[in-house]
Amino acid sequence: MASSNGNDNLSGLIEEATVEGTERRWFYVMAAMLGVMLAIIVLTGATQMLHPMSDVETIDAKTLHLRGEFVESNLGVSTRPDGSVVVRMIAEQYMFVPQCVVVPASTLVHFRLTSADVTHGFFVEETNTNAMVVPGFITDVRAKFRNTGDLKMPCDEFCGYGHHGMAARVVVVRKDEFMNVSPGERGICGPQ
Amino acid sequence: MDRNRLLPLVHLWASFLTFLPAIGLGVWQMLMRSPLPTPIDDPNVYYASVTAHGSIMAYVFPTLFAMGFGYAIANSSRGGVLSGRMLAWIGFYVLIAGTVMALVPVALGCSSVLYTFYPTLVGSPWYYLGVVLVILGSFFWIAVMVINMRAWKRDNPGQMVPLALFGITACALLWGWTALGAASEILFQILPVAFGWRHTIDAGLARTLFSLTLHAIVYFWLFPAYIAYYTLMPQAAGGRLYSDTMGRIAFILFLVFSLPVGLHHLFMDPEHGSGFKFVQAMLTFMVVLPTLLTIFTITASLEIAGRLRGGKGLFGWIRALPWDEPMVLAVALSLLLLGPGGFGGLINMSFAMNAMIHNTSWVTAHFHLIFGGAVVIMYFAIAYELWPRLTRRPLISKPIACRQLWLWFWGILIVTVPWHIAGLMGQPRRYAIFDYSDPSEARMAPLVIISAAGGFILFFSVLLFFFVLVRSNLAPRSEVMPPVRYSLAINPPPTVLPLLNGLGFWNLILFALLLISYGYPIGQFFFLRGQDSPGYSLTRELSR
Amino acid sequence: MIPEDPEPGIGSAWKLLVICVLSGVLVVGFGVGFILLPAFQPGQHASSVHEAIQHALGHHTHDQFPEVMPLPESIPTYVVWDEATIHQALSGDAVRGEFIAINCTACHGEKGMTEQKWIPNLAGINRIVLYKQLADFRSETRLSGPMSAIAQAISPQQAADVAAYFSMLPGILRSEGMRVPESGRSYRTRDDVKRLIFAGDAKRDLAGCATCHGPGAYRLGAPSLSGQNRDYIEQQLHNFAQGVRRNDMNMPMRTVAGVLTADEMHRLAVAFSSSTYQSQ
Repeated sequence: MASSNGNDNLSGLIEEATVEGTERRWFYVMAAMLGVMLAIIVLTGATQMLHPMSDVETIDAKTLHLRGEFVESNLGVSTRPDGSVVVRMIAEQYMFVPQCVVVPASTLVHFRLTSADVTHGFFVEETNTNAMVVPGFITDVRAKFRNTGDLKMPCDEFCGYGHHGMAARVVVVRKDEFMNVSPGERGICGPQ
Repeated sequence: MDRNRLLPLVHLWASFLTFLPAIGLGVWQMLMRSPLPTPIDDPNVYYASVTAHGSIMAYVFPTLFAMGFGYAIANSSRGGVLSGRMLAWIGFYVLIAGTVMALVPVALGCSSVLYTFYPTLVGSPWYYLGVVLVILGSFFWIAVMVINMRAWKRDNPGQMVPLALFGITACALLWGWTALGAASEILFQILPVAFGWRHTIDAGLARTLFSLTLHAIVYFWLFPAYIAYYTLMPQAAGGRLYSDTMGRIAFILFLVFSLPVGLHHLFMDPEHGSGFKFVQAMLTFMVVLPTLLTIFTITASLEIAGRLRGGKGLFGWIRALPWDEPMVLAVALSLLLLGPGGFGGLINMSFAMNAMIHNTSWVTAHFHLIFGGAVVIMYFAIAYELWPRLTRRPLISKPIACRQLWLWFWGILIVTVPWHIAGLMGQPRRYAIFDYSDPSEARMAPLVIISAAGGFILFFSVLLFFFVLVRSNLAPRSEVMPPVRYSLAINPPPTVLPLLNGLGFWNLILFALLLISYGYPIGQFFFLRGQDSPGYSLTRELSR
Repeated sequence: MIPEDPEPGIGSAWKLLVICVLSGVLVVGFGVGFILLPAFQPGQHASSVHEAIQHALGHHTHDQFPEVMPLPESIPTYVVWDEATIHQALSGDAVRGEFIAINCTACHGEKGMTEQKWIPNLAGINRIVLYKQLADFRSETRLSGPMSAIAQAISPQQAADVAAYFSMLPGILRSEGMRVPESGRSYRTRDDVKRLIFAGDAKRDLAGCATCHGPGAYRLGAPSLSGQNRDYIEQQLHNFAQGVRRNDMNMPMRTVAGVLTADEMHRLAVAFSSSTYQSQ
């Protein structure tokens, strides 16, 4: 049998009991460390914003333009009775529609996106808002912007040859400034 | 040449011969992404290149390597006997045919779907069929490994299967399970659309099936490196393995827990609820365990070797180790890269932190660090160990081999560290070009340029690797080389511990875990309605 | 593969231990993931274990968005790319199509190529594109002179036939295939029209025109533009920008044209219609 030379007088160099003892102690330390990390995840998961999206909503990608939530006239920003804001966008090759939206700071913002064709993704720079947009499904992520600013929102999943050119913008304004945006405008900056 | 040695040698040569052009493509890609002038400055070419680079590096190169390594282990463990050689050769040719079939459409630019081929993006059917053939070819290998492990047990009753053979057979079985995800996705969902028989695909189901493969495959890539840690390094260092039992436990943990964790690649996806996302995240913690256990055992084994060579004091044994041995050097460099790489992995698997870096350059940098770094450096070292034994010709120069390993180590760091930082700064991944005239992109320019420079270092390191191997192959045959030998443990197991000597029970556990963790996530798609979407081809509108 | 078990009792005991530990881990995992964590989701009034589990599985436990589904204010196009439509669009008979196309030559030219630069060349145009435009003319979601009356006079199957015929004629660069790689197609190039066509403009979040219109890449429903008539391209860009033409499904062209300047529209039209960027 091909194995190292058993005549090197090293057998039994360290007692098996010692070996087992050290290995077992290390195992407990490692398991405890992993347990602590897991506990941290659970605890942070119980806090707002730090949990994966959960609702599985399907939608027919072929009829977005005909009916349902993502028809052209319903895209953009709208306000819900409880004061939170909903941003609806379509992700398609190679743009988000609408390309630029205005949202208020310090307010709960729902981003609801779906894809008209292939899998896209998006993240809003300088935030933790980061999600995949899969055709046939609606992505709903929550965000709360602390600071005002002009944030870029690139596509972050390969969607074809124009992937590197696909991005949108999220313009965060002060809450009182946002109120001045008339409901008819749907919070779209830039051409409609 | 003895045909039992020709078989692994051919596989290993084939694997590195696919590696070389893939590295070349990688260097070009780094240039293209940077502000530097680049030949063939065309974004479409970038995406074709990434498809080729990824497909080779993910599906062809490590598979061929594991196959070659496996045949070498089986042959040497069985004292020069290898059953199923005919099956092995069939598998090899099927795999090579598949590789060619897959890469031709990619080279022609009609299947730039990337190696993750997420539908509803659809490419050339020959690309997918090629990938299926690569998988099919490797399945012959799995059969041969199982046959040979059984034969060893039959020939050596009352003894534990050698750790290396046990490990590589577990590795083969892991690959068998792993490949099922991508194979099902291709066969049942993508090929019908790619051939034009159907026009719609459920993208959610496809991503879920692929996630089965996507994580487990990295453990398949990692396995040979770990086998080398346990069975080749201690002896190369002149010592013994600290604990054989720990090696077996680590391999079993990898086999069992690599698969039911894939959903953590879909944390940010809309097609799954948080419940199973969490369950699989928790199981991911279990699969971190074997790496942590290995670090201890391997460091202890290194310490034994160091102290046997006269090292004294708390850290004196480190200096005493034989650093001129490529295998020892590679293990140390590999562990150094495994640290930050593993840390990055822990960040990726924690949902809250993952949200910061999902699909940014951090992810690409992470797997280049851990696979390109910690694992591939071990592949080089395994090659340096095996080549002399397989070709009966010694390495022409261990110092050059060591220098090649150091070059690779520094090259990996130079490539991946700035890349990680760019990811933290919000650079999205899979971008062919960046507009560096924009100030927010311009601040990343130095990082990308440094990474590109690192790419050239890596390419040079690979050339050096080939130099060593080719020159060694051409050197005159020396006196009979000792056969491949695997390290013994300090305390070899006195009796057979059945659970650590066989894989049947563990396959059952694995299957049960798969059902529990993936049953609902996959099954739900058969009850959801309305999510099937048309396939989209990049270069040809649906013209069938 | 079943291990030989010299001491059956010990083997089974270990197996039992493994199963117990694993089961324990799974119970904790499912408990936390399906009961504990969902209870803490903001806005989820998970008042029972059952609701928590439902939420963790991804089912709506209560209506999050009770807003009434809005009726669309206008329909851009009635075409839907389902299996039936795609199949019909792709299975036209070119021989029948040639016969019908005799009626098209007055404006669109003998072989689908016309000298009148404000009327589109049809030769070589993709079948899906032509089928859809005829469908939109038929439903009057696109308006252009006599085209609605013409489209209403032919059935969808005849439209598919005409499309099959025109797609086979030489003329516009075909909407198929890869392009020969060429340098100078990234942001590095100094020719700003070429840059706009192949790389786009990141400052305006614009992808390159070629990524949808070719050469070398084609989005479903987007026509190849290389060899198309100059004034027609420019006019359509203006129409999209002003919202006069609205039949682009999910608004890609209106979005893009809206950020182009008039000068760029002109120069893009010139570039595509001439042979400058016509290389495959």
